[in-house]
Amino acid sequence: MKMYGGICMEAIVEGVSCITTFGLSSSVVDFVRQLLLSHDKNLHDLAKTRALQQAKSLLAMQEKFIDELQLRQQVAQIEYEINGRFQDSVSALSLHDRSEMSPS
Amino acid sequence: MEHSQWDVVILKPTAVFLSFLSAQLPDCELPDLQLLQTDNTAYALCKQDNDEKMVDELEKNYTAMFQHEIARWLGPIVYDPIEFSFLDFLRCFKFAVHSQIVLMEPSIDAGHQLLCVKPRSVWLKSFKSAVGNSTLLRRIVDDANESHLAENATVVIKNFKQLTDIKPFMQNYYEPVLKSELSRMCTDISSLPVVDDFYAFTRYFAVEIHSQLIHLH
Repeated sequence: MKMYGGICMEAIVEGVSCITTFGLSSSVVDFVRQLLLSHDKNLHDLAKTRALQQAKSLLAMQEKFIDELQLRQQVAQIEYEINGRFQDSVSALSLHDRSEMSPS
Repeated sequence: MEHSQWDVVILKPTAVFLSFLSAQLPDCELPDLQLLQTDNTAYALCKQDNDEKMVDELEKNYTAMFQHEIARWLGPIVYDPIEFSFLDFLRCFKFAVHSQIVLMEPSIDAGHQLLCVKPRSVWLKSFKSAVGNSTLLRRIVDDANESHLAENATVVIKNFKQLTDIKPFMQNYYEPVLKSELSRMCTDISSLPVVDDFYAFTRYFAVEIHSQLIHLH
Protein backbone atom coordinates (compact mmCIF):
# COMPACT_ATOMS: atom_id res chain seq x y z
CA MET A 1 0.00 0.00 0.00
CA LYS A 2 1.41 3.39 -1.01
CA MET A 3 2.01 5.72 1.96
CA TYR A 4 2.28 9.48 2.09
CA GLY A 5 3.84 10.91 5.27
CA GLY A 6 2.76 7.82 7.21
CA ILE A 7 -0.82 7.98 5.94
CA CYS A 8 -2.39 5.64 3.39
CA MET A 9 -2.44 7.28 -0.08
CA GLU A 10 -6.06 6.34 -0.74
CA ALA A 11 -7.08 8.08 2.50
CA ILE A 12 -5.20 11.21 1.42
CA VAL A 13 -6.98 11.18 -1.93
CA GLU A 14 -10.32 10.87 -0.13
CA GLY A 15 -9.25 13.70 2.17
CA VAL A 16 -8.39 15.91 -0.77
CA SER A 17 -11.78 15.17 -2.32
CA CYS A 18 -13.53 16.09 0.95
CA ILE A 19 -11.57 19.34 1.38
CA THR A 20 -12.34 20.34 -2.16
CA THR A 21 -15.98 19.33 -1.85
CA PHE A 22 -16.31 21.93 0.87
CA GLY A 23 -15.32 24.59 -1.56
CA LEU A 24 -11.73 25.42 -0.77
CA SER A 25 -10.26 24.44 -4.11
CA SER A 26 -12.87 22.37 -5.90
CA SER A 27 -11.60 23.34 -9.33
CA VAL A 28 -8.17 21.73 -8.88
CA VAL A 29 -9.27 18.41 -7.37
CA ASP A 30 -8.51 16.22 -10.41
CA PHE A 31 -5.14 17.73 -10.94
CA VAL A 32 -4.13 17.42 -7.28
CA ARG A 33 -5.31 13.80 -7.42
CA GLN A 34 -3.00 13.34 -10.42
CA LEU A 35 -0.10 14.76 -8.39
CA LEU A 36 -0.76 12.06 -5.79
CA LEU A 37 -1.52 9.05 -7.93
CA SER A 38 0.33 8.57 -11.21
CA HIS A 39 -2.06 7.21 -13.83
CA ASP A 40 0.82 6.21 -16.13
CA LYS A 41 2.45 4.25 -13.32
CA ASN A 42 -0.82 2.50 -12.48
CA LEU A 43 -1.29 1.58 -16.13
CA HIS A 44 2.29 0.34 -16.39
CA ASP A 45 1.88 -1.75 -13.21
CA LEU A 46 -1.38 -3.22 -14.53
CA ALA A 47 0.24 -4.13 -17.86
CA LYS A 48 3.27 -5.62 -16.09
CA THR A 49 1.06 -7.75 -13.82
CA ARG A 50 -0.72 -9.12 -16.89
CA ALA A 51 2.53 -9.74 -18.79
CA LEU A 52 4.01 -11.54 -15.75
CA GLN A 53 0.93 -13.77 -15.52
CA GLN A 54 1.31 -14.61 -19.23
CA ALA A 55 5.01 -15.37 -18.76
CA LYS A 56 4.17 -17.53 -15.73
CA SER A 57 1.59 -19.60 -17.64
CA LEU A 58 4.01 -19.95 -20.58
CA LEU A 59 6.69 -21.16 -18.17
CA ALA A 60 4.23 -23.63 -16.64
CA MET A 61 3.43 -24.96 -20.14
CA GLN A 62 7.12 -25.28 -20.94
CA GLU A 63 7.74 -27.10 -17.65
CA LYS A 64 4.87 -29.46 -18.42
CA PHE A 65 6.33 -30.11 -21.87
CA ILE A 66 9.79 -30.76 -20.38
CA ASP A 67 8.25 -33.13 -17.79
CA GLU A 68 6.48 -35.05 -20.57
CA LEU A 69 9.69 -35.20 -22.57
CA GLN A 70 11.63 -36.48 -19.56
CA LEU A 71 8.95 -39.09 -18.88
CA ARG A 72 9.12 -40.30 -22.51
CA GLN A 73 12.91 -40.44 -22.24
CA GLN A 74 12.65 -42.53 -19.06
CA VAL A 75 10.19 -44.92 -20.70
CA ALA A 76 12.48 -45.26 -23.73
CA GLN A 77 15.43 -45.91 -21.40
CA ILE A 78 13.51 -48.63 -19.54
CA GLU A 79 12.44 -50.21 -22.82
CA TYR A 80 16.04 -50.15 -24.01
CA GLU A 81 17.22 -51.76 -20.77
CA ILE A 82 14.56 -54.47 -20.97
CA ASN A 83 15.41 -55.16 -24.59
CA GLY A 84 19.11 -55.27 -23.65
CA ARG A 85 18.48 -57.66 -20.77
CA PHE A 86 16.60 -60.07 -22.98
CA GLN A 87 18.86 -59.57 -25.99
CA ASP A 88 20.42 -63.05 -25.60
CA SER A 89 17.02 -64.65 -25.48
CA VAL A 90 15.87 -62.65 -28.45
CA SER A 91 18.99 -63.61 -30.40
CA ALA A 92 18.53 -67.23 -29.45
CA LEU A 93 14.92 -67.12 -30.50
CA SER A 94 15.77 -65.56 -33.83
CA LEU A 95 18.52 -68.17 -34.39
CA HIS A 96 16.02 -70.84 -33.52
CA ASP A 97 13.52 -69.36 -35.96
CA ARG A 98 16.12 -69.19 -38.69
CA SER A 99 17.19 -72.79 -38.14
CA GLU A 100 13.57 -73.89 -38.31
CA MET A 101 13.00 -72.01 -41.52
CA SER A 102 16.23 -73.12 -43.24
CA PRO A 103 15.92 -76.16 -45.53
CA SER A 104 17.58 -79.25 -44.05
CA MET B 1 -8.80 22.75 -33.95
CA GLU B 2 -10.60 19.69 -32.67
CA HIS B 3 -10.44 17.49 -29.59
CA SER B 4 -9.95 13.87 -30.48
CA GLN B 5 -11.17 10.40 -29.59
CA TRP B 6 -7.63 9.02 -29.55
CA ASP B 7 -4.88 8.55 -27.04
CA VAL B 8 -1.29 9.35 -27.82
CA VAL B 9 1.30 7.04 -26.27
CA ILE B 10 4.88 8.29 -26.14
CA LEU B 11 7.45 5.53 -25.69
CA LYS B 12 10.68 6.26 -23.87
CA PRO B 13 13.34 3.55 -24.30
CA THR B 14 14.99 2.40 -21.04
CA ALA B 15 18.50 1.05 -20.44
CA VAL B 16 16.95 -2.44 -20.70
CA PHE B 17 16.15 -1.76 -24.37
CA LEU B 18 19.82 -1.15 -25.06
CA SER B 19 20.83 -4.31 -23.16
CA PHE B 20 18.13 -6.26 -25.00
CA LEU B 21 19.43 -5.09 -28.40
CA SER B 22 23.07 -5.75 -27.54
CA ALA B 23 22.16 -9.26 -26.36
CA GLN B 24 20.14 -9.98 -29.50
CA LEU B 25 22.50 -8.28 -31.95
CA PRO B 26 26.02 -8.54 -30.53
CA ASP B 27 27.65 -7.47 -33.80
CA CYS B 28 25.47 -4.42 -34.32
CA GLU B 29 26.63 -0.89 -33.49
CA LEU B 30 24.05 0.62 -31.14
CA PRO B 31 23.30 4.27 -30.35
CA ASP B 32 23.84 5.44 -26.77
CA LEU B 33 20.95 5.74 -24.32
CA GLN B 34 20.90 9.54 -24.41
CA LEU B 35 20.31 9.49 -28.16
CA LEU B 36 17.66 6.77 -27.81
CA GLN B 37 15.77 8.93 -25.33
CA THR B 38 15.78 12.00 -27.56
CA ASP B 39 12.76 12.72 -29.77
CA ASN B 40 10.77 9.68 -28.61
CA THR B 41 8.26 8.17 -31.01
CA ALA B 42 4.57 8.92 -30.43
CA TYR B 43 1.84 6.43 -31.35
CA ALA B 44 -1.83 7.28 -31.87
CA LEU B 45 -4.17 4.61 -30.51
CA CYS B 46 -7.95 4.42 -30.13
CA LYS B 47 -9.14 5.98 -26.91
CA GLN B 48 -10.36 3.41 -24.38
CA ASP B 49 -12.97 3.64 -21.61
CA ASN B 50 -10.84 2.23 -18.82
CA ASP B 51 -7.36 1.06 -17.88
CA GLU B 52 -8.05 -2.64 -18.56
CA LYS B 53 -9.08 -1.84 -22.13
CA MET B 54 -6.10 0.48 -22.51
CA VAL B 55 -3.79 -2.38 -21.53
CA ASP B 56 -5.62 -4.57 -24.09
CA GLU B 57 -4.93 -1.91 -26.71
CA LEU B 58 -1.26 -1.74 -25.77
CA GLU B 59 -1.01 -5.53 -25.86
CA LYS B 60 -2.64 -5.56 -29.29
CA ASN B 61 -0.14 -3.05 -30.65
CA TYR B 62 3.08 -3.72 -28.76
CA THR B 63 4.61 -5.84 -31.56
CA ALA B 64 4.16 -3.05 -34.10
CA MET B 65 5.57 -0.48 -31.67
CA PHE B 66 8.55 -2.64 -30.69
CA GLN B 67 9.35 -3.42 -34.34
CA HIS B 68 9.08 0.25 -35.25
CA GLU B 69 11.48 1.23 -32.45
CA ILE B 70 14.04 -1.37 -33.54
CA ALA B 71 13.67 -0.36 -37.18
CA ARG B 72 13.90 3.32 -36.31
CA TRP B 73 17.26 2.93 -34.58
CA LEU B 74 18.82 0.01 -36.45
CA GLY B 75 17.21 -0.01 -39.88
CA PRO B 76 14.21 -1.95 -41.23
CA ILE B 77 15.82 -5.33 -41.94
CA VAL B 78 17.35 -6.30 -38.63
CA TYR B 79 14.29 -6.86 -36.48
CA ASP B 80 13.07 -10.01 -38.25
CA PRO B 81 15.03 -12.55 -36.22
CA ILE B 82 14.35 -10.81 -32.87
CA GLU B 83 11.68 -12.35 -30.68
CA PHE B 84 10.12 -10.45 -27.80
CA SER B 85 7.21 -10.73 -25.41
CA PHE B 86 4.82 -8.18 -23.90
CA LEU B 87 6.94 -8.32 -20.73
CA ASP B 88 10.08 -7.51 -22.75
CA PHE B 89 8.22 -4.55 -24.25
CA LEU B 90 7.24 -3.23 -20.81
CA ARG B 91 10.78 -3.60 -19.51
CA CYS B 92 12.29 -1.94 -22.57
CA PHE B 93 9.97 1.10 -22.66
CA LYS B 94 8.29 3.51 -20.29
CA PHE B 95 5.10 4.83 -21.78
CA ALA B 96 3.27 8.06 -21.18
CA VAL B 97 -0.38 8.32 -22.21
CA HIS B 98 -1.69 11.70 -23.36
CA SER B 99 -5.42 12.12 -23.80
CA GLN B 100 -5.38 15.93 -23.91
CA ILE B 101 -4.95 16.32 -27.67
CA VAL B 102 -5.16 19.44 -29.80
CA LEU B 103 -5.46 18.48 -33.45
CA MET B 104 -4.23 21.16 -35.83
CA GLU B 105 -4.31 19.16 -39.06
CA PRO B 106 -7.48 18.38 -41.10
CA SER B 107 -7.60 14.85 -39.64
CA ILE B 108 -5.58 12.77 -37.21
CA ASP B 109 -4.32 10.58 -40.06
CA ALA B 110 -2.80 13.65 -41.69
CA GLY B 111 -0.71 14.36 -38.57
CA HIS B 112 2.82 12.95 -38.59
CA GLN B 113 4.48 15.11 -35.97
CA LEU B 114 3.63 16.23 -32.50
CA LEU B 115 4.49 18.82 -29.87
CA CYS B 116 4.14 18.12 -26.17
CA VAL B 117 3.57 21.14 -23.95
CA LYS B 118 4.94 20.45 -20.46
CA PRO B 119 4.68 22.71 -17.43
CA ARG B 120 8.02 23.75 -15.93
CA SER B 121 8.73 23.67 -12.18
CA VAL B 122 8.25 27.45 -12.00
CA TRP B 123 4.60 26.84 -12.93
CA LEU B 124 4.21 24.66 -9.85
CA LYS B 125 5.19 27.58 -7.61
CA SER B 126 2.55 29.78 -9.21
CA PHE B 127 0.03 26.94 -9.04
CA LYS B 128 0.22 26.97 -5.24
CA SER B 129 -1.81 30.14 -5.17
CA ALA B 130 -4.71 28.22 -6.75
CA VAL B 131 -4.85 25.52 -4.08
CA GLY B 132 -5.98 27.83 -1.30
CA ASN B 133 -4.91 27.69 2.34
CA SER B 134 -5.28 23.96 2.91
CA THR B 135 -2.08 22.67 4.55
CA LEU B 136 -2.60 19.22 3.05
CA LEU B 137 -3.01 20.50 -0.52
CA ARG B 138 -0.03 22.81 -0.13
CA ARG B 139 2.10 19.92 1.13
CA ILE B 140 1.07 17.75 -1.82
CA VAL B 141 1.92 20.50 -4.30
CA ASP B 142 5.24 21.11 -2.48
CA ASP B 143 6.16 17.44 -2.87
CA ALA B 144 5.16 17.24 -6.53
CA ASN B 145 7.85 17.37 -9.19
CA GLU B 146 7.99 18.15 -12.92
CA SER B 147 7.23 14.58 -13.99
CA HIS B 148 4.01 14.61 -11.92
CA LEU B 149 3.03 17.85 -13.60
CA ALA B 150 3.88 16.63 -17.08
CA GLU B 151 1.71 13.53 -16.89
CA ASN B 152 -1.04 13.75 -19.52
CA ALA B 153 0.37 17.08 -20.71
CA THR B 154 -1.33 18.57 -23.77
CA VAL B 155 -0.05 17.34 -27.13
CA VAL B 156 -0.47 19.31 -30.35
CA ILE B 157 -0.65 17.33 -33.58
CA LYS B 158 0.84 19.49 -36.30
CA ASN B 159 3.28 18.88 -39.16
CA PHE B 160 6.32 21.09 -39.65
CA LYS B 161 8.53 21.32 -42.70
CA GLN B 162 11.46 22.49 -40.62
CA LEU B 163 12.27 23.04 -36.95
CA THR B 164 12.38 26.81 -37.37
CA ASP B 165 8.62 26.77 -38.16
CA ILE B 166 7.76 25.69 -34.62
CA LYS B 167 8.45 28.91 -32.76
CA PRO B 168 6.35 31.17 -35.06
CA PHE B 169 3.57 28.58 -34.89
CA MET B 170 3.59 28.57 -31.10
CA GLN B 171 3.67 32.37 -31.02
CA ASN B 172 0.47 32.40 -33.07
CA TYR B 173 -1.32 29.54 -31.38
CA TYR B 174 -0.08 29.45 -27.79
CA GLU B 175 -3.46 30.66 -26.47
CA PRO B 176 -5.65 27.66 -27.51
CA VAL B 177 -2.85 25.29 -26.50
CA LEU B 178 -2.55 27.01 -23.14
CA LYS B 179 -6.31 26.88 -22.66
CA SER B 180 -6.29 23.13 -23.24
CA GLU B 181 -3.35 22.65 -20.87
CA LEU B 182 -4.91 24.75 -18.10
CA SER B 183 -8.30 23.08 -18.44
CA ARG B 184 -6.78 19.73 -17.44
CA MET B 185 -5.47 21.30 -14.23
CA CYS B 186 -8.42 23.34 -13.18
CA THR B 187 -12.08 23.66 -14.13
CA ASP B 188 -11.98 27.35 -13.29
CA ILE B 189 -9.09 28.76 -15.32
CA SER B 190 -9.57 32.22 -13.85
CA SER B 191 -8.19 31.01 -10.50
CA LEU B 192 -4.87 30.01 -12.09
CA PRO B 193 -1.86 32.32 -12.60
CA VAL B 194 -2.25 34.64 -15.55
CA VAL B 195 -0.25 33.84 -18.68
CA ASP B 196 -0.93 36.86 -20.84
CA ASP B 197 1.81 36.72 -23.45
CA PHE B 198 4.10 34.31 -25.30
CA TYR B 199 7.05 35.25 -23.09
CA ALA B 200 5.11 34.19 -19.98
CA PHE B 201 4.02 31.03 -21.78
CA THR B 202 7.63 30.02 -22.54
CA ARG B 203 8.59 30.82 -18.96
CA TYR B 204 5.97 28.46 -17.57
CA PHE B 205 5.85 25.77 -20.29
CA ALA B 206 8.42 23.79 -22.28
CA VAL B 207 7.64 22.53 -25.77
CA GLU B 208 9.00 19.06 -26.60
CA ILE B 209 9.22 17.94 -30.23
CA HIS B 210 8.33 14.46 -31.44
CA SER B 211 9.14 14.12 -35.12
CA GLN B 212 7.34 10.78 -35.55
CA LEU B 213 3.67 10.16 -34.90
CA ILE B 214 2.72 6.61 -35.93
CA HIS B 215 -0.94 5.71 -36.41
CA LEU B 216 -2.09 2.39 -34.97
CA HIS B 217 -5.81 3.09 -34.71
